[in-house]
Amino acid sequence: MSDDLLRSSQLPGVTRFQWQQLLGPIVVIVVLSYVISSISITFTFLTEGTLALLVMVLGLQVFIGNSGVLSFGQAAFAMVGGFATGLLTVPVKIKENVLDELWEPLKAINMGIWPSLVIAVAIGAFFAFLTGLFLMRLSGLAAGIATFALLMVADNVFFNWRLIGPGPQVMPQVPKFGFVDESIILAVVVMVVVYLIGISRRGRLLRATREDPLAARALGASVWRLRVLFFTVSGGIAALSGAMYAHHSGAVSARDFYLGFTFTTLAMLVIGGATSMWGAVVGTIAVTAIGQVLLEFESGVTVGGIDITLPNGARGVVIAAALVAILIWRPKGITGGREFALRLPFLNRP
Amino acid sequence: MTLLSVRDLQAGYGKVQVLFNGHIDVEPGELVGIVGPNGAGKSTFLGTLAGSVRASSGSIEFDGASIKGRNPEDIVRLGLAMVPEGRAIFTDLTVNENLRLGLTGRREKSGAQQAVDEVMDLFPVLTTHKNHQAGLLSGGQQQQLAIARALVSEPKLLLLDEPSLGLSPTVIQDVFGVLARIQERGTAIIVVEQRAHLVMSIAVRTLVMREGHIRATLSQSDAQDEAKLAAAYFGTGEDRE
Repeated sequence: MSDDLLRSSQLPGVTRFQWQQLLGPIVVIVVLSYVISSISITFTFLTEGTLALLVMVLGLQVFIGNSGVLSFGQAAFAMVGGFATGLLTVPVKIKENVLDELWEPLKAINMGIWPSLVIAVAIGAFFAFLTGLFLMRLSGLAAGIATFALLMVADNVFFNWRLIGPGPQVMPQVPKFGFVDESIILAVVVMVVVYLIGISRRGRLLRATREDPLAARALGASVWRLRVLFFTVSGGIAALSGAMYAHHSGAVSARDFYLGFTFTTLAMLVIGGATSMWGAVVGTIAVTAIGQVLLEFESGVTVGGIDITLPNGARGVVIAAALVAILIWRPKGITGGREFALRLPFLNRP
Repeated sequence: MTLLSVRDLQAGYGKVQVLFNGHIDVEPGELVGIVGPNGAGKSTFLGTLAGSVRASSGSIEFDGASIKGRNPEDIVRLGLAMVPEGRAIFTDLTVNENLRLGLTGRREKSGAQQAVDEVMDLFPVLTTHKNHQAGLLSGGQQQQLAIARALVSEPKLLLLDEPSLGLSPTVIQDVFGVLARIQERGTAIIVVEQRAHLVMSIAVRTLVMREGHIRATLSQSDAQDEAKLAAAYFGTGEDRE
């Protein structure tokens, strides 16, 4: 009978550390990033932006995928991260000239990109922890609505409060990353963190609460504490994504991280498969690729002598339709919640 | 010292009261049964002891402390573990991973591996399927895994809710055979069951519940007395009408 049963290495959401599973997605991302960014400046820009999105989707995966609780609010922490790194790195002169209503102590601060990234992550995680203390008492529809309310609050604060930002304007002159390498390094670090926390004892316990909260509590798992912990980690990662986006585009505004951003990143997670890191990677790549192809068609493409021009907005419609199709026919996403293991001879020791 | 002492326990769901004046005493190492028809309030009684159902009034003293109103995750750390109805194993995880989740409720963090090894000795079939997906085990094996998972927290009192549910008669005998071995380790057990004869054959005493009330307490010798058992289980002729 034992031969009929699946071994642990074949299971979705495997909880035993395997180098192959950690290296698989990392190698795919590093190779794809260097290949695509080498095509042209435009593709380098696309790669950097996609890596920022990948980090956001990984941040969503670590909380939503492991807890089973849907959150529409993680973009609020991306907003926090984007604004934090912007305020810490935009030159003082620019702040004095463009952001004249900014709180005076914030005008005087200026530091390099790397320390600002660390601070942005810490601030994002701190706000996630504070809000998580209350929000993580909710489940299901109530959690979805409450986290959406969090997004609305963050958007209104950042969109209107000029003491901490440009209000409805754009914060300009955010120093840009010099190379695609910075984004790749950050994405790899986040992938390692997400993988390790996913296979940890607490990760396994949180997934147990997702499957059967009552049974998990009977084993001694505090659903609230576990959710707060993972919500905090997710908030820190989302803040890093917002900060990466700011250093990728050279500017930041509240609306960069609002409904469109929330929908796109959630669609990437669901289409790829929410319960695995590989799902987050595949979803990000798939949705970006579909988006780029459709963008070309929106601009007009000649195929076999026939001019095809899709109406503006076709990208959004197709991605939304793909999301619905996945939810109906493959609710576990393209990857089915499985991790991708890189099979190399020297890594395949039993 | 009495391990568990429950008095005048009232519990329910919202405004609907399901358990009336629940009471029970369990000594260390004792096996006590609770039987009764569907809807008698047996699982609610057990859930109230484990903290998954809120008690509206009454007292629950466990190992010298009041546990009424405490969370399930805190109660298991005090040494009271529950195996819920339907086993509630995590089907996507392996047998070993399921067992290790049970370590969360241990009071002492040291000796965890020894606890797992001891439980594996108690359930040899789990050793065979250690790295296999728990969801693909047979019903009896899943029930053994659920009991084993609760045991790795080394509870002083183990609560079992309908362990025979959905199992074939021979598998039921295996599962109940293990309960005696668990008792030998000094663990007290409360078993909720609909199969009265099964429980009464191994329990030092058995409470009979109907309509949310404990109607009778039967001794092991009462198990042989069909008339007494039927009267307690179904009530008098007047009751049935």
